Amino acid sequence: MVQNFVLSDTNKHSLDKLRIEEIFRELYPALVNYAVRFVGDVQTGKDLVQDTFVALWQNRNKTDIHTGVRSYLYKSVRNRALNYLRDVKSVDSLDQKDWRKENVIASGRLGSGSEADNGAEEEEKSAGSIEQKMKLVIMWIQELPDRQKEAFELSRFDGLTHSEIAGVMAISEKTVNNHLIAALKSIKQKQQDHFNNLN
Amino acid sequence: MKDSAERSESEQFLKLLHENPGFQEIWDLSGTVHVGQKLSQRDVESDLEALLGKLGIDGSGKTSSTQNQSLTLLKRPFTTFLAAALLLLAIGTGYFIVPNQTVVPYGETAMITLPDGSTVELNSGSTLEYSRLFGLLNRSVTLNGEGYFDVKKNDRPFQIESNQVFTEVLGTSFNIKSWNGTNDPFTENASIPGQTEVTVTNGKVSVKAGGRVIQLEQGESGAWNPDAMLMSGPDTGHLTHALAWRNNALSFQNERLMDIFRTLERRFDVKITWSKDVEHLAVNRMTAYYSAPLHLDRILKDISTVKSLHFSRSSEGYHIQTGTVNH
Repeated sequence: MVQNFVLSDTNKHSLDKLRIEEIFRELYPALVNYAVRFVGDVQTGKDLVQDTFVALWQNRNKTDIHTGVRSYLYKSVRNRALNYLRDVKSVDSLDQKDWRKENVIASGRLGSGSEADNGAEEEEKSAGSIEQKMKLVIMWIQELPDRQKEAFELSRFDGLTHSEIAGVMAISEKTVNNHLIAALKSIKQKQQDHFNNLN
Repeated sequence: MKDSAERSESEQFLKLLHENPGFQEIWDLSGTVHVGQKLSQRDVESDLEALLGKLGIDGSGKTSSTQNQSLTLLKRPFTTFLAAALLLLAIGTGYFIVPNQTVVPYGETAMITLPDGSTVELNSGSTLEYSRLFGLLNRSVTLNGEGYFDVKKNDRPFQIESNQVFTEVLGTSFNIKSWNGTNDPFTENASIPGQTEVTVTNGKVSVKAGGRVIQLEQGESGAWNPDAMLMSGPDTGHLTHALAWRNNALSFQNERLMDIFRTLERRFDVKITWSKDVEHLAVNRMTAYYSAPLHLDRILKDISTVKSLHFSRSSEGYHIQTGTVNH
């Protein structure tokens, strides 16, 4: 009887235990970060992502996981986060947003930061300025309008393609393009202002 | 119809980036930063356990694996006999001495299935070799390059030799990156082994080299540096980076320019040559990420900008020289 259960369990569902473990290990940290960008605190972010995985498992027969599990998960985390925000909106949303901004900057880690020690000799001259540039760029991204910021972060922080972002944000690919271009223009402007102020 | 419209959208975007160095710089800078919390491997594993508990699929894996084990134990005496018989035959014919070899051309990737059902995804330019007796006495393969292994569980250990590093597993999935010195721009010497990196996505593996052994578990990576005779690891947090190539992404984490150019040569099937005056920059390091790079020109342009180099097309591919840009 046990044997039958095991067999039917693996044959029937394309999304089995191993596959869900694989997907979880690969995407969980990024999805938690994505949720935290909306809701502002890690525990809530983790809970939302857990719920998303439970739903993925429950709908595993209805969901076409082969063609876009990544955008599917991002999209459902996003919906859950937005619902959550809608429900707690009455509780000082402004404060929360400011807190969130600080939190992101405070915990911002430069991709090359941890390795900076090993390559220190080679990078000595430029490291300071590149690191500074990165910090500024992160700061300017946080100042973008919400939709632009979201599209830009999905592309640059999460590595999603244009069409994945379009699917997640439920907008056309042309609009994704427009958001990204507007974001680049605005960051470039801030960069110019910054350097003009320095000189 | 929809597809081609979408493609042109992102191509238009790439073109725009290309034409605006200012945009390109912001784009690349923001692609190399990591923003947000960094969850430890332990957090991920305990949250995964919590999830599996909620889904009620906690114990089923264990049930099936004990069953598999008893089945394979039953089969063993027969296969051992078969192995001995085939070995005699092999000595007689010499056929089995010639190994099976898969060589993946530059610019392409390959997926092969081994006789035991295990699969290997091979990155451009990689070579995988295994004996025709594979699976009978042992399961061993030789790798030069990069491969993602999904090993079927059975009672014979699966062993990979890659540039004097031995990785041994029972049944699991993991990535190995291990290139020899063949394409080194200055030392054209195939017998010089490069660094070997092993990253585990599932199960446990042991990695042996130079008399040292480390055990790696899910989400962990380890590396052997043959020059320093140094084994490092287990480290966590390299999963996405190590597996980027499987999604056609390019991920360079503080890598030497010479290694980055070798990767680009294999990926885009071109030859990149260096002029003498920039040889000293070969060990310069850089971090960059491209989620779906289409054009090598764009990448070379980025590297040239950051490292004050200049590149031009040559008869064989590309030539890198000092950064006095004259255009």
